[in-house]
Amino acid sequence: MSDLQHADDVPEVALAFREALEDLKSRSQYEIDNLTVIAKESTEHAQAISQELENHIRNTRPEFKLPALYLLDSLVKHVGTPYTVYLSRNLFDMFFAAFTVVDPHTRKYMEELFKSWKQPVPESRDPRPVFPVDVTRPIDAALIKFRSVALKAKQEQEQARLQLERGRIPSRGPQSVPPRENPTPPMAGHSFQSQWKDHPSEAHPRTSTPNNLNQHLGSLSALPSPVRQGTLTLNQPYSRGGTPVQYAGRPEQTDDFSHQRRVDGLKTEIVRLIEATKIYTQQNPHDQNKLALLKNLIDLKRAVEHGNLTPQAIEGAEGVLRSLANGLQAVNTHPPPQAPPPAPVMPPALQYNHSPMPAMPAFQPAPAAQPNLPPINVAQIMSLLAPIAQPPQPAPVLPSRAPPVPPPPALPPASLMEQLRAAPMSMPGSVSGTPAPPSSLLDALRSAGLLGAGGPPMPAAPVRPAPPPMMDKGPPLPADLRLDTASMKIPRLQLIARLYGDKPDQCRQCGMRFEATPEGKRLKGAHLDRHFYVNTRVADNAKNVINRSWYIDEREWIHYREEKDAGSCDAGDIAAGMAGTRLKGPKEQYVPVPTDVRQANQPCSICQEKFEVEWHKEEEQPVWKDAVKVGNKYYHASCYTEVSKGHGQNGSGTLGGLLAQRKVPSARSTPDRVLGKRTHEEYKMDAGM
Amino acid sequence: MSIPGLTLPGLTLSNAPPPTSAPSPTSRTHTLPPRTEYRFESPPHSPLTIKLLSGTAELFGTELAPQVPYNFQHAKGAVYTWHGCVLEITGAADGEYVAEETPMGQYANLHFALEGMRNAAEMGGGIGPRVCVVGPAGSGKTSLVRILTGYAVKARRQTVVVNLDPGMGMLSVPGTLSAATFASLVDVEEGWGSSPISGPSVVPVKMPLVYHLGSAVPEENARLFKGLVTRLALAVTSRLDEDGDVRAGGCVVDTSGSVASGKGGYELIQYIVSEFSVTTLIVLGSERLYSSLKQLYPPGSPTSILKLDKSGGCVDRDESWMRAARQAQIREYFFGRGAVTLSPYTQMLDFASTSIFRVSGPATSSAFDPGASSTADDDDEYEPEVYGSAQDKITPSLALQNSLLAVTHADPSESADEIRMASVMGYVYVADVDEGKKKLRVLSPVSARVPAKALLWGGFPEDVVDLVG
Repeated sequence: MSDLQHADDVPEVALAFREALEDLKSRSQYEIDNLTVIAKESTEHAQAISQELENHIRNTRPEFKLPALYLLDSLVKHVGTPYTVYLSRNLFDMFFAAFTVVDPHTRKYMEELFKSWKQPVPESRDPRPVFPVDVTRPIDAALIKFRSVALKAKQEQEQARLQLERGRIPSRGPQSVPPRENPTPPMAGHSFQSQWKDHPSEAHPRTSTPNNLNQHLGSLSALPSPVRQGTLTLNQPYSRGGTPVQYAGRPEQTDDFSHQRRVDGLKTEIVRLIEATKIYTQQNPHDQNKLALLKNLIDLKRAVEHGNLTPQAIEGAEGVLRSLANGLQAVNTHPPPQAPPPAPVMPPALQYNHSPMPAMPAFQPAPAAQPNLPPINVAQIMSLLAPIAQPPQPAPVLPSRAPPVPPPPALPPASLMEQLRAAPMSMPGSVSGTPAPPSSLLDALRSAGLLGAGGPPMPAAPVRPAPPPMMDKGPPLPADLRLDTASMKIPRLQLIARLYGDKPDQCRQCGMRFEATPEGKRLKGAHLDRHFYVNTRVADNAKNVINRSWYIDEREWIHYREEKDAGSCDAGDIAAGMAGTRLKGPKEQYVPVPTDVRQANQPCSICQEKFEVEWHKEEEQPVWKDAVKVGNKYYHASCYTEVSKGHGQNGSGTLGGLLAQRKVPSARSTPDRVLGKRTHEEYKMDAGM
Repeated sequence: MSIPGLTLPGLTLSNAPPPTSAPSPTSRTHTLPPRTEYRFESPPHSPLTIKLLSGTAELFGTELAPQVPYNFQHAKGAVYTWHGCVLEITGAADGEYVAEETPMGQYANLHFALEGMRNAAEMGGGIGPRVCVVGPAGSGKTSLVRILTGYAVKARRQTVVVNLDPGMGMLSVPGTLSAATFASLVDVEEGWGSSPISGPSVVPVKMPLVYHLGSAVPEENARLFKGLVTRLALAVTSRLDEDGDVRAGGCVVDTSGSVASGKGGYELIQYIVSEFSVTTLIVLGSERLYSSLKQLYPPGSPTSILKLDKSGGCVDRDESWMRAARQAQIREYFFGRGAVTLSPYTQMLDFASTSIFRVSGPATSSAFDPGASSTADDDDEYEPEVYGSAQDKITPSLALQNSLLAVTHADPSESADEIRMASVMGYVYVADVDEGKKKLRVLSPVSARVPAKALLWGGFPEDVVDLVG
């Protein structure tokens, strides 16, 4: 409220902060971190900055309030004192200025957020909560009131809805979702509207400034038994979502809001559809179509949330969603709650078909996916949802699959392979909780340009080419070898030779077998070298203390590469010298500083630079970082990798040649490592230690 | 894990037979006709030594080297021969016999069928078969997975093996879910071999990715189990996607017998199948399970389903046997086994410097409930930090004594769900809790300080009483 009156003496940084706040439209970690850093560096202007944030939270549009509150959260948790003090002053007002106007979904987030404010700052030894109790208590009390009132309102509104439904058919589609037990206030939408209509007496125009409302709230929380009044004020938020009246106090934003209202409605609709689809997919996790639909819906939701939809686009989307809701309801009534029936009673299009493409030829020429979210046109939204939105006319879809598929024995092996390959696994981009839908259908959609690339990063796996003729490699496997019970029972002793007779050359130490070919000889040579090396080290190490290493984390594991060739070589053992068995990049390798004084002063034999000495905690001795010992010489591990790369191909079977070969894969897997010498600190940072 | 046991003099693996075995009075030879199997149960405290004198023999798909003694302690196993062999057995066995009926023919066929798929995947640049083995407890699931892994290694494939049976760990302790790529010889003597150690290892070590479930059966904490399955599946799929050497090899998933018990309509099986995009579902030994799953995955679905016979050698392992096996696994984690002796370190930790969380705390948010929140799937979104969910963080007490704590990769400040879902660095054993001085004495595998990471405490694996003297 006071942004104008202070305009003159607002420090520059606060003005910059204000501008940045205006761009804070999503809960982007990056932006919030950025603003936090700015605030942290300008604590002398903490008061002004807090004021800006406060104003912003009050005045921004409802959908931008949550990001702003997250920024507030970030400030108090990561910066602390000056901000906590300034921000706690009007926390109650700020919180409820947002809470009363956001949708129920966001409210849930806000409640979670608030919960964390009653607890100590994460990672802090200070046992005091983020905000003092006397700040949080009123909010807590008001929230409790709100919940009880909301519950009551929900019941009332449920009745109202029933009456309404008896009376007339609602104008737009609330019909899809059966009521679920949901502890949270119901979604905004027509039902609120109806409630609004049922209580016209309470429908005094929305008090435009949050402050007024909050005074109500404040007084409410102070009053001993404010049930009636509570209903009155707290019902206010319900009126939103349906009626423009509530925003009457802000004429300058009316346009925005009528648009916004539609977008909100659309969003609600999408959220509901997502819920319904999720329920369905949980019961039928293999229904690819629905999984794709779910994905599409989520994409659409994201697009809607990012705004910039043209009214036509919204209209189109609404239409599609309506028909979709009908379809989904039909589907959702079918599957029994527990185990789906053997042959689900579903429209044929919903059965397992790997490609939905033929179902919507009309949309084939849709423009290639728009990577970002500029105005989206109706056609795009239609095409986004079309394949599933029109389940009723799939008659021509995949006629070969439509009749009951014969049992596996009748399938030629090639078609089996084809089927198996038709559902390739591609990696979902984000490590999150959402189940990764088998994405062949998505890939198909994407490749046809039907689905934007706007979703979470998914490696654009191209549609796999038609399977090439099988088994070019090696002698063909018998044609009757299929994955079915009968075929498995046929004894095929001739195949066993592949495990034994084809590889007559056996390692007498561990039983590994090698072909009697030059290649087999080479591998065996390398294999024996490895045995020799390990055995020597075992003997050398007899007195050394050995312990179990820590396991690596996900990221490291994904990028970890096993050594192949002879199939039994551990590069960690060889390349890292004493460093342990973990495969290390060149920069992470080290050797103990040699005890021989002459050697200890030697530089790297390749670059002639000295080694860096560091105390190694695990080894409990000084070590040379980024170093490797080969024979009697010491090298920087990175130098050595660089040099040995060129010789790796002459695999000679000697230890040196072996070592050189070993180095190749690790260097190849992370090429950036050879670009410079990485320090131990960097490694630690990278490894998250 | 290593071939030379303590009984083998000369770690350089000379081919000379150990002097103890030849003149031993209990030494005996078995001549096995082709395609038969020598099944044995070795007692808990004295090793049973098996040596291949002639012919060829394999143990769960990994071939035995001739004239090399293999020691088995507290193990139940079977040595199969395709071509016939003579075995020399030393030491007392709790039970041993030669069986003529085995399903090895089927298992080998399965391997070759999978090889066909891998060849095709290799040519098409796609991902190889994703196999999941299900069946009731004691139907030989893990044995089949080991056979498939052993054969795949023989065929110079790299496959990812995923263990979703928390009852026994793979390359880790019980109560964990893990995955590892097997590119090298599978250990014959001991389960799956060894995870990395700081010294040389005769059989190459395997690098596992480990998560802590903290219960013996998935159903006890189905929500966490599902979350972890999702995490594992993501990691494995990423690996398959990125690692050209593994891609065609695909993965093999081993499951717990309890998911096949039919409670909850095989929901967890369906979950696993969809998360790993399983192409081939193998049902071992249960007709009923097979027919139920056949209805879930009818012909034409992306998952084909196959029933194989259970081996007659499968024996029920009673609870006390399992318990002893679990304790041995924990002991091995800290102290190694056979010729490899590991030296864990004892250290004192202040209560204040530890952040211990309970595994099965109350569910706080939907942060990792797959599919619950469609907006939370963006890594870049700001997530308000929640103080280590105060209700879940526990103050060390005597209840911790003798139990294992999982050291996660997560920082204590992360949310409770993040911590529970984090991959594990390793385990420490609580030897002593001094509530007066507020100190913990723990046994850590590594000599350095226990990293200041969030620790997880669950009721499983059960306490080990005499790990530290």
